[in-house]
Amino acid sequence: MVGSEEGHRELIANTILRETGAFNVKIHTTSSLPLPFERDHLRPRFDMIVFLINLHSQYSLSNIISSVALMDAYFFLGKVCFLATKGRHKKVQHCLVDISMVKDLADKYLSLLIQAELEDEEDVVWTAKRLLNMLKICAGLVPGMSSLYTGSLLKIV
Amino acid sequence: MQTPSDGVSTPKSRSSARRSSLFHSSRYPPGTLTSARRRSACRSLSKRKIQQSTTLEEPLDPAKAALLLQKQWTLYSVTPMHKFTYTRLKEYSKHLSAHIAAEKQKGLAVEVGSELTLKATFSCLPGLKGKDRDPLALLIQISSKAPFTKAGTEDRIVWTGLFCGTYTEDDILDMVPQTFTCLPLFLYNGAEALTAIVGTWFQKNFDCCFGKLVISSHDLTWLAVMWTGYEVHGHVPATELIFSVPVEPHMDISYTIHAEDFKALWNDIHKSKDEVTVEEVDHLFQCLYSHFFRHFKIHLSATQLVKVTASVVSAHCEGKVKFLSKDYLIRVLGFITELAVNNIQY
Repeated sequence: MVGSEEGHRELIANTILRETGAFNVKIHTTSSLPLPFERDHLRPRFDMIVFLINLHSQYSLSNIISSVALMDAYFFLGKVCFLATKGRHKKVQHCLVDISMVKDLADKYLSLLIQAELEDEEDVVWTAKRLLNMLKICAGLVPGMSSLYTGSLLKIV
Repeated sequence: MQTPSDGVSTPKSRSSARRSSLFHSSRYPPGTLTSARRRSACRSLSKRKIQQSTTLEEPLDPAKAALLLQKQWTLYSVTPMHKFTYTRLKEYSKHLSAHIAAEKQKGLAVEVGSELTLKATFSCLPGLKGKDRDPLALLIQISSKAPFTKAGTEDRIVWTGLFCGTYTEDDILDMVPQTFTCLPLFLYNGAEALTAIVGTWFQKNFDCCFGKLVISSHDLTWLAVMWTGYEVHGHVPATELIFSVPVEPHMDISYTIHAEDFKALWNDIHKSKDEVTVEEVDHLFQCLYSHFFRHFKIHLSATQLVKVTASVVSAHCEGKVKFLSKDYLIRVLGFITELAVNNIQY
């Protein structure tokens, strides 16, 4: 999970860990890529990457753009997801980042874009469940579905 | 390959698409007529023309201009008004005064002293036109008179409202039918209770809708760039930007830049004579942010710009402006009218 806002990362990570059912989920959070080289051999294989963008902050967007450029192409076959927060109409005067820019970014990298508010409990649980479902597919735990297949579905939806 | 099972991809992806379209409409449900235009306006404006001063038929009267300057105005955007004519202004004045008196009887306007009689006056301000096709600006003043004053003493103006549409684009004016008057920007200064009364009167009589106009942080950056460095009363005031930092307890950062430095930076970036592009605006602010970061190690791009005080205008993101100079009043009004038009759904 990559994003500049620590509070959001913690919130979603904790909720995902609460919602997980029969299998083990390990979440690694960071504020930007690349990950430090020293512990590379100790890291497990990553199944899914989530990029968090705060629509109130230009800084988080530029951070994510530079991080995404460093990623291996293997991940873009359905294993990447963008999560845009704080886009709700109540505070639109504070939205420095245009949502269309984030949409273009997601389209450019052929990845899913989820918008969430993260203010009430229900929304956080919904987002966590959705990410968990995607993670199950990316890890290959759902028979008959692969992340490449869901990635190709995006163009249809 | 098997078809995807329920509850995994399709239903939830559809709901995300619906949520993203909800965001686009920001305050009103998606309209029909101008939804295409609005979508293109939602995409960040690539450039704006710097309006050169035009020779108007009647330039703005300094006395009337003094009414507009140095006051804090709150902004609303208004949909076109049906069957409003400029010839019946006296009638409208009487009608609105009666309406206010009736509302006071009902006990609604509580903060105004109960003995004062309120009188509304409608007048036209021809000097606020940017181009000839612009509709005539309408000024409403509510004045109060204490009951036992001598005849001949001036009434005290307690509330001022202004409807205007400066530099309204031609395609908007063409789209509005003949029976409608398009004055998309409403500014008021005074008690909010009176605004509510006047607003409901307009809504009932002319079938128009008022919507609060907020100025987004991005538009504030445009404002700062376009209106800095102009002379006011012989000296050039500094530009002040106030950023709100999203931490607890609440913190505001005020960043003041000397006008000469700002102008020097802008002259290096700005290329064309009469157009400002969004890349130039973003580039200038990126320079300001990196300068601030170098000195204070704070990323201003992670904060929100809430208030800008340029030399000729001061604006707050909640839709409050203050005009500081008569010379650039029309052009700033043109900019705000554009924001108001983009805010409306027909």
